[in-house]
Amino acid sequence: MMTIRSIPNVTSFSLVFLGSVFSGWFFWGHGIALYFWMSGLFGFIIFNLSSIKIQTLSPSLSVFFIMTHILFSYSIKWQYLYDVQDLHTMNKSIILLFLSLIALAVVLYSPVFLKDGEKILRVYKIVLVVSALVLISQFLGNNFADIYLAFPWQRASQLMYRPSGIFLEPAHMGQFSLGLLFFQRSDFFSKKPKE
Amino acid sequence: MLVVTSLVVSFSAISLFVALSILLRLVMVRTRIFKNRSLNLSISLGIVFLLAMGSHSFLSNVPQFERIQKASNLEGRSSIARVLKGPILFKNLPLENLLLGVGPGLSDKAIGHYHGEYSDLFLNTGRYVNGFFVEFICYGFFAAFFLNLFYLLLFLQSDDWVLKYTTFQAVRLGAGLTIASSICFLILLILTVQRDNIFEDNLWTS
Repeated sequence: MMTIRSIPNVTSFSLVFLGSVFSGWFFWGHGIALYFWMSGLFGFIIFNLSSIKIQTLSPSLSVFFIMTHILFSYSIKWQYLYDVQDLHTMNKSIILLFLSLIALAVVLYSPVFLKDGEKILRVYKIVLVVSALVLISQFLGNNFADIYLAFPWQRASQLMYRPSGIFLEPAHMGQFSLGLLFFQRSDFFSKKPKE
Repeated sequence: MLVVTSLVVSFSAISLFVALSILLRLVMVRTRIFKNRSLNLSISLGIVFLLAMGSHSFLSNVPQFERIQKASNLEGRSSIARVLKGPILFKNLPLENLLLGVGPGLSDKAIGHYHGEYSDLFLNTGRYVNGFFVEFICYGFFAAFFLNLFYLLLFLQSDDWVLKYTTFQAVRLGAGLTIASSICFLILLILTVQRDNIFEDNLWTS
């Protein structure tokens, strides 16, 4: 059951996911995915930051600090190298890079996020199964009934059609499914997450 | 199995690789015939290899599958841009850019330092570089080294981390999967949810 407490993390996860799906659409000069993605990242940081518990300086946290320090110092140096157009692209990438790294470090040390983990895994599994079903339907429809099934945001050509499920392109479905490999042995076979 | 099947029929080399990796882990977890882990791994690899060969003979009749065959032989413009562009551009960078990077999101700046047979192809494909090398090109050697170390430490907190980490990095060698991409962030989040801190604690205290 979804509890009110787990809504912020599940919503943030869903927003980042929407950011990975709608990367082909644009709004106000930026990919619509950027808005979803940044909202999701801010969500993870804001809702988990107050709960983080760091008892010892672990190796991953030490490496995180060294890495962000290097990247931050480089970011200042890079600012003087390029013209306005390149700076705009670069600063967008720098902001996304730091937000992703900070969000990852925050959720790594947040007990609240760990508690919501089961819900997030459930959302992930549902998305994966739905996308797999859509992809198989697209494949069967195209090969056996000559029906061309593609969503408006997908980059698909009718010639040499390759189904993508609900994702922008077939490779994205593959990359997203990589998360399934990261499941623990105990969760690898379960049809639904343990309550 | 539903996901694995869907990945196979999506006719993407990356998806097929991920499908085989998932299948390998599935067989590895289920195969407990011998106490020796390496023997179990060899049997799992054998089973997955046979399955891959079987599906290959079945799928080779489908026209879309030619794309995967070309990708596995590193033929075709797409495969060269995905796999070879990164190491070639990184190798040709001047020392300063090699160490300090060309700047996030500006991987196309590295193309200016390369004047070989693929120059036109690299210019046409613009900023697209595989996830592993784009970090080295954009952020520089030191930052990318620590970034990869950070990934490794995340994986060390999980079981079967060798297979997981190897697959993750192998996928990054053929796809634009970086920390600054939403799908990479999502799958690292899944890894974080599934973590087990015991290993890292032992690593720190030992």
